[in-house]
Amino acid sequence: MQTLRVNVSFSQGEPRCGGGVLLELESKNGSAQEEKVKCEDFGIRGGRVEFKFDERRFRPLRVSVAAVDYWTALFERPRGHLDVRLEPLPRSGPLGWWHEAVNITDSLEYGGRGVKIGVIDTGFGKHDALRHVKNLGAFEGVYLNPAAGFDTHGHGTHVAGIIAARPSRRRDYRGIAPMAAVVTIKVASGSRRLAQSNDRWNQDSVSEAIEYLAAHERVDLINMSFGSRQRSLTVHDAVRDAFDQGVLCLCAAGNDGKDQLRFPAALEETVAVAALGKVGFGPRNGRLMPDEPGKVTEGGFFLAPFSNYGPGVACIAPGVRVISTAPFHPMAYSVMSGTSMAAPAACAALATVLSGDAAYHALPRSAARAIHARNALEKACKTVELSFTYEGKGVPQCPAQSPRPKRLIISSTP
Amino acid sequence: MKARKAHPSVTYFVGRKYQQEPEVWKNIVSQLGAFKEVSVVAAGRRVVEVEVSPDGEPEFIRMFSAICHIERPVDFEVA
Repeated sequence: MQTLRVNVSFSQGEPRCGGGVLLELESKNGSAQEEKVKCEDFGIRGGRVEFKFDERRFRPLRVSVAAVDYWTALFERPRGHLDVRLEPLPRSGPLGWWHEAVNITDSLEYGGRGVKIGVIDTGFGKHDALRHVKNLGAFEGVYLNPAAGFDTHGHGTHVAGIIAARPSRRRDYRGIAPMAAVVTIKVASGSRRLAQSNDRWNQDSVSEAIEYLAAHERVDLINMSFGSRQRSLTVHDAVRDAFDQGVLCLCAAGNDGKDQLRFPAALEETVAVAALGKVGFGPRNGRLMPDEPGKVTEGGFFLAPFSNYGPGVACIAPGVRVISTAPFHPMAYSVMSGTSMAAPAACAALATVLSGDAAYHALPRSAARAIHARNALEKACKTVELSFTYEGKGVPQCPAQSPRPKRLIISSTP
Repeated sequence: MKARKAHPSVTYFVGRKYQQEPEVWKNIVSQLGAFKEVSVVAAGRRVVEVEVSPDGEPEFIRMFSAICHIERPVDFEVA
């Protein structure tokens, strides 16, 4: 057995809670069946984490070190032991590059009012900036458990924050459509399922969640930042029924870096969103940057190297180094990259567009409403000069003047 | 005497095809329950999880694939 040691320390201060080290192993005989992932946690003071693996069968492929409020460090094919010093995330909100990319330049423009978004993900953790978000619980298989919606993974809370975070402190990052009504449903495996971890699930919980959001919650949009290599007729049927009820589903294209969309993004009734990156934000990292300078546009944008692409891509949205809410502390933020971050960015931008669209709100809940929403998204997109199979129609742009929240003015004078 | 090792049952998800009235769906679920090679693990509004014995698998597929979506578990993961 070989040991890989990772020493973690923080360049400034301490995180609000501990973090974790993820080791991805590659099988030496090339069998995908034998891919392995190991995870170990560390405390708020950092420390040493050790992994043991059989060096005759595996070699280290990638190590990622993540902690709340710090940049994630990634190491490709690490050799020997690692000393990792994590840098704190910038607190220069409320707007980041991903807001600028969707045309939000005024931090006081709060869009999305009157649009209801359903988020199907890993759950929802309480956060000061997400007090207005309604957590409906978890579909454990086909059963909805209202008490089981807590996000133990971090993904769902991050996604909800990209859409609708309303931070109380100006330096924290806000959502793209903070006035949208957001409801979240966690999807989880039932008791005897093949998918047993907290970031994997099956078609039963996905189908039931789509149906619940469309029929009971009467949402306008559903964000699905997950996917599968296999098609599921059951999920397709649920998506189609939701579409017929006027609900448009926005889905992550997938993180395989291939000319092939993951399912359900590949469906005709859904909107497939690829991930956009921008040069100059965050620490340099090979995995998150294109391997050739020619793949970066004059504006500094690029298709994230991990993003899937193809003729089915409807649009592209920010998905590299997006900072958003983390579930483990009411004030915590984390950085994530993936088409999972791009889908909610596009979803929220569409919410700001639909918010002021009187014709959309006047339509009955039928397929025509979902088609109107999809057309509105296409119209709102602006090209960033990438190839069509990378960007589809381009990046969705929020309208310049979104409704502002009413302000309470307190005065001591009569 | 050594007990014969039974073949493990196979998990299937049975989903509604298109919009079906709740009564129709309930009828399908009760039919599934009555089919001796199938045991219903969990029944939802859209999906039923069943375990099918390998012996009854071809007959189960033949009987229900015409009126429902029948599929083996598909894993979804975060992107």
